[in-house]
Amino acid sequence: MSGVNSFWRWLLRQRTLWMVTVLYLWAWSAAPAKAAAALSYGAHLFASVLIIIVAVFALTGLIQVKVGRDFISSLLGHDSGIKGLLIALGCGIFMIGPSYVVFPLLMGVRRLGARWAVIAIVLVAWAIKPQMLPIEAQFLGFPFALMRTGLILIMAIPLGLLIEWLMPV
Amino acid sequence: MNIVKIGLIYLVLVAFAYFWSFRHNGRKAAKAVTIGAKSLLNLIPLLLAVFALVGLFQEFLPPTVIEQFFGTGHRVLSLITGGMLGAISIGPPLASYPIAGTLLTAGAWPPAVAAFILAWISVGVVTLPFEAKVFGWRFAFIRNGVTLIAAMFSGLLLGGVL
Repeated sequence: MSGVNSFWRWLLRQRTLWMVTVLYLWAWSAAPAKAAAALSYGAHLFASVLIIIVAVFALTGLIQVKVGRDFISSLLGHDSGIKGLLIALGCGIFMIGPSYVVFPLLMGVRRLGARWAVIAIVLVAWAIKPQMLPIEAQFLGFPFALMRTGLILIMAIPLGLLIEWLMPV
Repeated sequence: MNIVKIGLIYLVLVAFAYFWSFRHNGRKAAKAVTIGAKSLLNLIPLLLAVFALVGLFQEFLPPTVIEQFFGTGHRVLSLITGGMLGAISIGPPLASYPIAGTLLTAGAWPPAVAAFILAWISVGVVTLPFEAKVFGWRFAFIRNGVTLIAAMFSGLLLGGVL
């Protein structure tokens, strides 16, 4: 019985889910077909990224258990210096998929001692995707694609440090 | 490469890591499964809400509506609009390129289009509740705010080559 009660309490705490439910009720009353299409689009998108989400959470668990706090601190902590920031830059560039799926993984690394700048640099550098350059160039031209990539490459570390500076110690 | 294939590659790599881990230390590997599963279950309602919200944006804020907001008359306003609309849009970067191309041919101001693409890729208003749940509201606001300003600034520099 207490299990059922705690489930309902947990469900009531999901404010974002309730807010979106209210938005859907409004959308349904205004344009039922569009609301159904929106739900279908969201469901398809969720289904398409579900595998990657499961894989990332599985990896998060493994890292928490396997990787020691001292190791992460020395590699990505405040004492890691420019090496840690460059590792973050490389991770952001070469990891693939939507960035939000690695949020829990990054927070796991943060809890193990990584500095905020490392987390921020990975997320800024996520916008650099060398494998996408030909497609971007096709729509917007090579000068734009190359300059955009170069600009983010230059800005990633300073932006990461700025974000860290704005965070409480 | 589509997202399902990327997911399968991730999953196979992680499965290999677990296989190695179970052989090495079964108890630790089982603990890793529990930690991962608990974290995922804890965030599932929020993920469902975010994806449902993405669907609403897609249907009620289609690219054609977005295009109407990009004028060349008020440049500062266009730049801010470009950045803000990129920030509330969600989807793979691949989807932003054709929309940006359409905006350009429709006569939108190039720096605003550049800001739109950069914000699309780097800023996530729709995923903000999820980011805040994981990292805390302060980091989520600071990261998205700083990145949005950087996207608009970069848009001004990049607009010249569009």
